[in-house]
Amino acid sequence: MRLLGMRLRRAWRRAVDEAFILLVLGPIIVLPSWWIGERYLELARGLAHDVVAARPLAVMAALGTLLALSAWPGARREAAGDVFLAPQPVPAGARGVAAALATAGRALLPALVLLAALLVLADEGRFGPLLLDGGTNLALTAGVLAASSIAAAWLALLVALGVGRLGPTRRDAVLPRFMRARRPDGPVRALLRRDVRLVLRGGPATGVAALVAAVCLLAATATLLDPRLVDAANADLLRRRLVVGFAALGCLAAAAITPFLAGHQLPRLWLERAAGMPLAAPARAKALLAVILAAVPAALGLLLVAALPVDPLLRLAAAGQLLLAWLFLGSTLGLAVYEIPEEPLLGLLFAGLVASALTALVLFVPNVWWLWTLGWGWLVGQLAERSTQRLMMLEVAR
Amino acid sequence: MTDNRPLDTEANAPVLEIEGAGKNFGDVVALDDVSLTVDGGIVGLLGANGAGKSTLFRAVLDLVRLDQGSVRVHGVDPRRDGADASLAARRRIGYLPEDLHLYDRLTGRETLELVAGLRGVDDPDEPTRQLHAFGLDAKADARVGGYSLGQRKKLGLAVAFLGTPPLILLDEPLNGLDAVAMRDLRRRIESMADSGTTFLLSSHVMAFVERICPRVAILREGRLVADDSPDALRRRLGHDEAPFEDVFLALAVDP
Repeated sequence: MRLLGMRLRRAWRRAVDEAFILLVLGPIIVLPSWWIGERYLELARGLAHDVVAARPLAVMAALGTLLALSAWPGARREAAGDVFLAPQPVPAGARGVAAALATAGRALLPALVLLAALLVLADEGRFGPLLLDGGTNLALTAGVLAASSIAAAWLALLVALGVGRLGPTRRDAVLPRFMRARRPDGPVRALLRRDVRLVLRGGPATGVAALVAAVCLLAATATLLDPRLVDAANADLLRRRLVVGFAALGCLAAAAITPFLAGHQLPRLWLERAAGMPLAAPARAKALLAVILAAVPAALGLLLVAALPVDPLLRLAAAGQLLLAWLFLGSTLGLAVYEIPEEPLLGLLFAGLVASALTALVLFVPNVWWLWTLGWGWLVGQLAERSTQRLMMLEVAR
Repeated sequence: MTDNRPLDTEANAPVLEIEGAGKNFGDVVALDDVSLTVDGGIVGLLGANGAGKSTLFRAVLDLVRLDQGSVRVHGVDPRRDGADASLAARRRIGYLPEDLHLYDRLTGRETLELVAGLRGVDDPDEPTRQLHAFGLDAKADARVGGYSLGQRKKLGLAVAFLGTPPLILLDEPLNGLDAVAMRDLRRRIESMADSGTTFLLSSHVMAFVERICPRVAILREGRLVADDSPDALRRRLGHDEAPFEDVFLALAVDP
């Protein structure tokens, strides 16, 4: 109990330390995101013509937000923070229980906040139909949200405590063939190899990102298998868009590791810069890494697309959309990570919004995909140039 | 190995030329009109905490932009010759920072492979060679997070020595090393200096500095106040029999 009290005091001090982020930056980011997200949901509902399709979208969006909010900040700190307890006569079991309780508590808080917000909005009739229509039990939804966030946080804790230490140390034998095939130049290759190793060994946010990507793919699978969609007026279009959309979200979630990795690497930048690393190399390596990471959900998404019960040409079109989404999301997110590397969460929001906006164009206005591809070509050039400038500024500022 | 041939810019230029270097961090004067030329041998860069040693090291690597003056490495001035020349010069410098941040999840070998890839060291056996030279064979494939302080320092030294660059900067190389490791490091530095490698090192262990450095440069509040051999500095102060530490304190600290 005393351990739990100590952890609570530490959490309180951390919250006080980060009051600026919580009270100023947080609302600045969350409120516009909520506003934009609400419009996306309305758009999705309009497309669906069927509340059954929009409800899982809303729940998944809420779940994704929850997972991200709840498990990110602390499981790793939790594990690292225990170092000072090692020489103390505290049983390992007590430490584990205290860490688990503290993590669950931290996960539950944003879940309750979100639940309260949902209740208010449901009362206002704005999101009520999305969550309550079709017989969905609000208490059940709340329970699922809370349990999922706790499970996510615990999984993240397990990753932080276990996988990072237990994994084999030499995994370069499983480096994706993609890396060899692309043959980037020496420095980019060296950085990419390092990045892949760090991710495989449970780098920052890896567990949570993998979990969110898995949830997105599960949502895509559920959409594919949901029999209630068969009777919808435009079931084919709806199902195709939802499957591709969820798979693209999975790509985004997997690629979201890169801003956190970049933030983690900042204090170690001297190692690369002193060795003569070109300033253009880190962003290029991160773009390749994001594309590689997003390739896993993209490949699984392609399998789902192949199973779509639609005309083969439409399947092909959906596969093309997904491939473009994968490429756009991975490359733009990876190249944008050095915009705000000191604040990975802000960086992810910025890079994620840029990447998502471009991908949304491919998904919702696919007829002029070539135009979006040209735009993507211009954008990645700009981002690559900016990343070099940003790293130079960052270096000079230090 | 690192390409040790002269760069195209100035084939016969000294390894390191610092001219009128000045750098302020807000109101803090880190470097004030520092001029120093180093061309071979082992030079000790001394000073009290905050005297500007680490800033000077970082300026040599072009990791800090000077407000005034210039730094030329092998004749290359990054501001004059551009980014590519600056990178080529950096690849010929080995660097051990005082504040050593390494990747805990990489192994020692992987850390060296990363630096080898960036520095253009083509010999695939070089990381193994450096690990062996610093007595890290047994820990080569263990993650750096499990290293002791001394082992991390040795790995940092292996990073600096990787590919035997012609100029090696060592910022407090002795922190965390035991007596045997210090002796081995001293022998290695002396041997490499005899073979043509130039060293610029800072340390607070005056006995080590006096023993290994035929020349010392002393910084005081960002200004270069002495640049000579330890014996010459003794004579200058009239402390012929005094420990070198007294000479250092008189020049770098005492009012």
